[in-house]
Amino acid sequence: MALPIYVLDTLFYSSLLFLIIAGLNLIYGILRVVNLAHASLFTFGAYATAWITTSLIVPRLGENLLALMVLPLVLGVILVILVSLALVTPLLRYSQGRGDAFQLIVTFGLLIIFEDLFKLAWGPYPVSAYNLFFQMGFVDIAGLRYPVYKFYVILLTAILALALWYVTYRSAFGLVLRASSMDPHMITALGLNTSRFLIIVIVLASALAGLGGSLYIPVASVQLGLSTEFLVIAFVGMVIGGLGSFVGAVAGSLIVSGLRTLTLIVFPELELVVLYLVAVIVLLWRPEGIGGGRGW
Amino acid sequence: MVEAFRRELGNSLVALAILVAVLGVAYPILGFIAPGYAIYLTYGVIWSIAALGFNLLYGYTGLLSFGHATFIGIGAYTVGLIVKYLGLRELEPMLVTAMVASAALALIVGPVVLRYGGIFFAIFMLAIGQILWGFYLKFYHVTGGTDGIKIGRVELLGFDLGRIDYLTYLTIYHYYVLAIAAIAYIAMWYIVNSPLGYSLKAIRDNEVRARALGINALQLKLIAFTISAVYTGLAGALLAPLTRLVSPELAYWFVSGKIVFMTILGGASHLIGPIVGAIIYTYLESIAIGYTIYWYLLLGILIIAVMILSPRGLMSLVDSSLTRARLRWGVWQRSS
Repeated sequence: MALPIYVLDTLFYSSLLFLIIAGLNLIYGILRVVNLAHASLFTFGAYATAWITTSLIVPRLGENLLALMVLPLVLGVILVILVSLALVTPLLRYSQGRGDAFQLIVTFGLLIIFEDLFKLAWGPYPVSAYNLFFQMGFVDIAGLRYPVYKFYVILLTAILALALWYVTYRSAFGLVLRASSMDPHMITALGLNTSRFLIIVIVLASALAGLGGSLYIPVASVQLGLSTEFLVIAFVGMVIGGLGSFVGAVAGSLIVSGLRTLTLIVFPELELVVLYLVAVIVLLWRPEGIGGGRGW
Repeated sequence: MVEAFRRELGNSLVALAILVAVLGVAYPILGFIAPGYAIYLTYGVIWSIAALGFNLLYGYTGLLSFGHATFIGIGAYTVGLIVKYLGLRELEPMLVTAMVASAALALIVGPVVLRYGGIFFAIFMLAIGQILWGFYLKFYHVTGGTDGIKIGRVELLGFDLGRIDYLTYLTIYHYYVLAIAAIAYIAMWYIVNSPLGYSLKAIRDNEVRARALGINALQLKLIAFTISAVYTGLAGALLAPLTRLVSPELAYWFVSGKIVFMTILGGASHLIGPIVGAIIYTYLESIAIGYTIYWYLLLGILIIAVMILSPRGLMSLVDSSLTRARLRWGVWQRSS
């Protein structure tokens, strides 16, 4: 594979991973909860967007590029936020401060509930919606046809990551965010409305995961079991980057994605083994991960 | 101390005797009234061995593994590969090989995954489980991929059971499994009540203090992890002749969650909790799957409900009602 293609594929995949890992880290950093059901929101975003595209947008508006770019994404993310408010938010808030085991087991329960909700709503077969992918067309890169859509995803995520960086380091909300990931009790003592703040954090994390799913669906199909596939890879990225940090989400998603794209070319059977070994090496070198240990 | 130990042993041997009697008698009765369901009792007993092993790690050492399906897979595929490539039919050497293979894997990955504890351990175990599950699927020229490996009838204790009718074969297999489970239970009782068991509980309750008392926490955790792996690997190996097909399904992440749920349903603080949980779970699953294809949904709700309403499991409910009855009995005695 030519180098530019490799770099682009890595960036594309790391964009999707970043959207998942950022949410995981946000929830871990602020609530100290590891959410095994987080990747399920990614999968939900993918299913919802596919459904919106093929049964709402295309029959009514046809293959309209602008409509395909905006509407499925926005509606999909709104659906994810609603589901998150109904199912994920209460459970995460209840799990807060109840110990690792409680959180892991309860969110595992949520993970399998989601699996069956997907089956209930969209059946056991793979679902796809390639409309936007083909509408955007291809460009020639290093003598190969490369989809424009992947550029679009990379660009969109880069803008989003920058915005997140800006919010984190340059806004009042970011100040609270960083402070509460370092010392939640002090922040409460200083008079923050914790309840509302935590709901905002969970919704933001869920929306990021849902957006990831929405961006994923035009390039591939979604099926049952996708959540755990992404969950395991995202966790490796979370561990490499450092639990609960913004820098960690960026570093983790880039490293994991680079390694994964490389191993998929050389020996695809060992994809997870290589990722796992790298995670172990990073942990031995820096137990708190590359960007961890300093809060969000 | 010795007295208390004897009383403990007496109590748990009584519990074991009751358990074996109930399971031994229940099988023919169930076979008579509901022929299809008797086989689930065998499944339940096998899963209880896995849960017993899991609980040494979770209930007694405080390490939550979300990847114990790894060892179920190792056990089952050891049997599968031996049958496929060596053509062996005696089950005992296969069980021993499966246990050795599980122990070997635990000793290889243990020193790394145990170092960080807590969520890292849970996640790493999940990842290892997924890695091996991927292997079973991807190396299909060895493992048969999704088709798996077919397992014919096995020889038990040197007896060729190829010619008897299938129902008798299943019955014999049930008692064979029950005997192994009883041995596994007694062994676990000795482990839990040995200095090793007490040290593990000390690590669970407060690792820093345990270390200060001179306990080599990492080494003991590795021992517990290996024992746990051996139990679960044994269960995996025993499953193979019953499912008659070794497929990646046995090593899927859901299976890991299943073992976790069995244990918390029965009660992790109890030695027989996981056994009770495993048998109840197996029945629930077998019944529910007959009525609905949305078993995951029901189970998810059940998991969350158990964790919120009774996080110490069914056996703790039995325990507290026994205590209450005993107290009432005492009051009644004194008043009369």
